[in-house]
Amino acid sequence: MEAPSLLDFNLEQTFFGFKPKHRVQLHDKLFDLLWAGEGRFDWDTIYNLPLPIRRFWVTKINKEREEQAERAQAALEKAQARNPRTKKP
Amino acid sequence: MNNVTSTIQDRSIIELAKQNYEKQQRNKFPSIVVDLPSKGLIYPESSPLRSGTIEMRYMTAYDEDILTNSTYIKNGIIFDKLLESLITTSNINVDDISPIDREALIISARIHGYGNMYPVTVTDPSTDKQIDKEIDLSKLKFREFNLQSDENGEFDYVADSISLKFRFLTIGLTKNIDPERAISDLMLASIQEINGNRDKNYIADYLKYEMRAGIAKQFRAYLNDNMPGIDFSIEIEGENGGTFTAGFQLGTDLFWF
Repeated sequence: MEAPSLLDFNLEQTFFGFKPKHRVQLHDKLFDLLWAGEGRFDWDTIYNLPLPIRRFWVTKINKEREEQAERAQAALEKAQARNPRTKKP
Repeated sequence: MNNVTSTIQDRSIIELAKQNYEKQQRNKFPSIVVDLPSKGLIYPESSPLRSGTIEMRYMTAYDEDILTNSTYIKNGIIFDKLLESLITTSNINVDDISPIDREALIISARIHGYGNMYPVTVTDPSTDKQIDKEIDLSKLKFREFNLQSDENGEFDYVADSISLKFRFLTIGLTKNIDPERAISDLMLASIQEINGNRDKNYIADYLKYEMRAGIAKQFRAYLNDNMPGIDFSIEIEGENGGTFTAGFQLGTDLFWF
């Protein structure tokens, strides 16, 4: 029963899992999001977004991109089916 | 002189920019109201902390920049800087908050920023093996706290021939603790009055020369037994299907985005 427990604080500095090296990674992700926005939003908006909303945006953009890729693939397959001569060997 | 003046001006500009940023952030998004484990009872009635709740805004990339700041990490002040940035309740100085409550605020920031599931490693007592588990931070409970404080946020302790008034320490006060004499420094910082006398020199002398070791030990035990805070012991399912109660270390990796 020692007095230092009066300081009762159990969290370590690594609680959030960040180290200084992660700063580059963080800004890399922010850049990716800004780039994916294609001018729809600016740096300031992203930088000040609450994290749950930022996560929501990233999920939405990823989903949108996947759907876009699927649509492009479907269109390509359709075109190839219509004109087999364009099919690669 | 020119250099000094320009440094001061630079500081004012930085301070002003910070205030503007915080004001802007306060207005943009709804805040989170966090309950304090101390219920605010450990603070004087004049303090906004006495309400037992603090308002914070959601974490942003700005706060992630704080968490990755190498200088803050080196100096061990990331949590203080983070809370300075997140707290939106007016007139709160982070140094005035108790470490007990700071813990709850940081856990709340984690939950609202990255979610409530948190990976931990615990040892299963039946197999002695370390197992990885995810715990739900939102299910952590506060320890029971039933002491009644006066208007100064001080508590009474009476034993044998001694009558004390004590308070739980704030972050600011803990910074002055010398690790070499932690016990006596903590006692001195905590005890505000002995037998009706509030003079700090009298209290220091009393603790040094008059207080019996047994009484000091009893008092520390009383503090520990009645301290508010978060209960970190949780029930975990072991490898063989049984459950066990374990404490855990909060300091592992998490996932971004």
